[in-house]
Amino acid sequence: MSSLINQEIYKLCHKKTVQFTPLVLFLAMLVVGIITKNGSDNRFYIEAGYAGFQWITIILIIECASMVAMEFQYGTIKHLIYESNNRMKIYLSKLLTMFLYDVLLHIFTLVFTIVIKYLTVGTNVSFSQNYLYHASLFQNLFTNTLVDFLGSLIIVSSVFMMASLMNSSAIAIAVGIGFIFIGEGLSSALISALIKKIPLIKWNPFNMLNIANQWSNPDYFSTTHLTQTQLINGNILYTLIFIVMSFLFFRKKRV
Amino acid sequence: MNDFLKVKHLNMKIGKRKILKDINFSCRKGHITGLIGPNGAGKTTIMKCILGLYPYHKASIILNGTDIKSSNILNVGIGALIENPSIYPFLTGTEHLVMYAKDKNCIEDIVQALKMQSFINKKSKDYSLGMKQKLGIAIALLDNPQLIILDEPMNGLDPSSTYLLRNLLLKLAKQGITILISSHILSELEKIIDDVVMINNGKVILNVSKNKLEQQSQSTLFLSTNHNDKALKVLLEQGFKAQESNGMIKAFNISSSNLNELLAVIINNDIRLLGLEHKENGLEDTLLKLIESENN
Ligand SMILES: Nc1ncnc2c1ncn2[C@@H]1O[C@H](COP(=O)(O)OP(=O)(O)OP(=O)(O)O)[C@@H](O)[C@H]1O
Ligand SMILES: [Mg+2]
Repeated sequence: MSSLINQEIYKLCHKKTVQFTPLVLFLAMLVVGIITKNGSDNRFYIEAGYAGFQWITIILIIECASMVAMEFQYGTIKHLIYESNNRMKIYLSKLLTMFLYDVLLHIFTLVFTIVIKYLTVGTNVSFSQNYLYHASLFQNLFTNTLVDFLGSLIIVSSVFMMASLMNSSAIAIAVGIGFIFIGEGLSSALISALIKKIPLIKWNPFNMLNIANQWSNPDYFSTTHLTQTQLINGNILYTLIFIVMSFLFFRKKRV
Repeated sequence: MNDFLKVKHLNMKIGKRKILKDINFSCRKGHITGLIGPNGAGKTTIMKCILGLYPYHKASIILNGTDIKSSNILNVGIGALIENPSIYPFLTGTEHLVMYAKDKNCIEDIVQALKMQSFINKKSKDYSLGMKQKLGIAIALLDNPQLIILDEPMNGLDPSSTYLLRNLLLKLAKQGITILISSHILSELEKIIDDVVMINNGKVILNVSKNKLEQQSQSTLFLSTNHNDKALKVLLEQGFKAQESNGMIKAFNISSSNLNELLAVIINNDIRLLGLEHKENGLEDTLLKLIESENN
């Protein structure tokens, strides 16, 4: 198993897209930092990691989808299977590697946010000043990073599921990105239309994507109809469901 | 009883269609076994079953004394090249070998043995067909496997690379490594294999050692005589298969058992032999005949 994880990390680190990701992420966040520098809501942008969390979601979707689909596309899955003789191990090593990559991307975003804050607004906006939840701005940034990480797990697991189901990474990427862009809107439309008749509709998987939004903006409760804790539990539950389902698809996938 | 790999009652279905029908054969330790047969016969499928890439029913595949279905942990190293080599376009050849190898010391030797030095550090997306194939073979040879399974390894290789591969496989077999190899280039295969397993329509139709096959193999004799018409007539009368072509008599299916008899017929009829040419049928002819008779 450890040799499989090493192989996954080796492959990931040798991809051009992955190698340039930190630079691109930093520049994209810097642009947001510069644009919003003279605005009134600096604290919101700092707490939201200068939109870095949105970018890393897209990066995760792309890397997750290609991590699964490329093995079937290049035929390299044959080597993985006869070497390990266990598809569960192959699948878990991929999932774990993506998990580590997810952690790393969140650390990047956190560190870049700190750097960009000093580059743009300098010490005019202090990390120690009070922000939401009677906590300092830095604490808000930190917890927001954790919450976004939790919210990203459902995306990682659902993209794994789609990539195991489909033969092309391009389709899995497209569906994954579509999922995050229209998912929230779809969920709020469903909820406002059906919440009276079917109260359970608030537990639809798209609604779980609101976890980070609601954390930054507690008014979101009127859209989600779920409390903070319910959202956290829902995210964990759906992540587990998607992990199990994607393994079932992965196991059956024709070589 | 030195069977390193034993395949017993291997049946395989894809959908409703039976792809493999009760396949039985074994590969002896240190032998090179050639798996041959027409397109779509099921050679690749057999290899995939052995490697655990396809599920199979009611079969036992025994590797070095252990049924591979019952033990998830393989007790021997297997190296394989199935259909297309397992290659990531964004890695170089060296990076592939470093990533796959548990024992990094063997990499250098393999690269040299296959003469891959000139391109091994280039990204594999820029490789030619033969370069990819060589990298695939190199990957199969990593970590000193005890069983090597190669599906059409000569695909795209130039003559000198084919020669290198041939000698390499013979050397490995001498060291006691068991090799199962499929190829359509029978003239090449013939030079290295010890045993032949022939598949047609998902069934084993022949499973013998090459020596035995050679003994059975029949050849064609070209005779020129002072009296071809008469010679042809008496040969046909005596039940030989013969025909006249280009001023010569072609006698078919001649083996050591009936050669003397044929010559006796000629000489006893006062026909003078002017020339005699013997053409040994290769593996290719023998097998083509077999498939032909099987399909009829
Ligand atoms: N994925 C699949 N789905 C349906 N049928 C398949 C599949 N793979 C193989 N087959 C069928 O199985 C049979 C055996 O195929 P296989 O690839 O084992 O042949 P082969 O002997 O390797 O042929 P070739 O010499 O062309 O490589 C073929 O008739 C093919 O149609
Ligand atoms: Mg084949």
